[in-house]
Amino acid sequence: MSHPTRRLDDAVHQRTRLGILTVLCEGGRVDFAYLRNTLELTDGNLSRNISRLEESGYVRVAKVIESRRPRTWLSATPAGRSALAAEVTALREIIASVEARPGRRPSHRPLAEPT
Amino acid sequence: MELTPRQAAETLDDLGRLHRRARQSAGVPWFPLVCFGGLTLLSSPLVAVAGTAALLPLWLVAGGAGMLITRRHYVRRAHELGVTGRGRGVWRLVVVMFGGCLIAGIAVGQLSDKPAGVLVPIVVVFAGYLALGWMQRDPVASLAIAPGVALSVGVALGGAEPWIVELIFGATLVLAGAGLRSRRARP
Repeated sequence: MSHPTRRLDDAVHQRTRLGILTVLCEGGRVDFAYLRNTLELTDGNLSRNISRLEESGYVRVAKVIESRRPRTWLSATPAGRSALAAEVTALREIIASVEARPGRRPSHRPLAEPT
Repeated sequence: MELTPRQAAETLDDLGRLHRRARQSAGVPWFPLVCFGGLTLLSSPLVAVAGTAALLPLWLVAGGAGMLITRRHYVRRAHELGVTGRGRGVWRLVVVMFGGCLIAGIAVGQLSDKPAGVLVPIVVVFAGYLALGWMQRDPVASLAIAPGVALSVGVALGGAEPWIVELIFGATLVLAGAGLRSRRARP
């Protein structure tokens, strides 16, 4: 079996993109402004990361006009949900691989379930 | 790609925080309790006059109206906040709950005009809310109506008239909804 770090997906494994997918998986359909404020990012930074996730097929982007103003709604695709779940599993395995070493005690508190 | 266990733990902690924040934004399901609790309260005088036979036509109209009002509330809220929550799954569950209440109410109402006609739908609502709380991973929301259900079932089994059971159940639903709403408002 390969080391957990080898199973990390480049398209997802970056804190901002992981954060985007986490919010989308929990929040359902989320608009650009909410995501920008929640993740405390600039418009440009968020746009770039969303584009990367969209290219990988992990997020769906819908641009609509609401109350005569443009609005961008985002949602996670099934592939995006799977990618996030796989990433979280890999991260847990990295932690577990250290804790499993003889004489090693857990060094962190239990983690919340992010997916 | 190298990642130390400490970095992995920090990343997971960050994701956990984001996850909780998004869940809080998506909100707790307080509005349906207030809306349907209010409708249940309003149905109480009708049941007192016409008996449980009045429940089916009443809920066909009031239930549909309640779902439309609830949907409108969440659509407007999503528009304001920019986050919808796990809408589809929740709506499927709500439709199943509503259908289950009607079918259970009809089936039991046909058998008797006793409190059982209102008791079974209460149990269906309780089961539905347990499922809803599980879907939203919110045990407090899941158990919010438990005291009201226990009280209503106790009163019904004690031989109270159906309209009294409706009155109590409606009031406890409204109270549970108000409690969930105030909990959401806390920082």
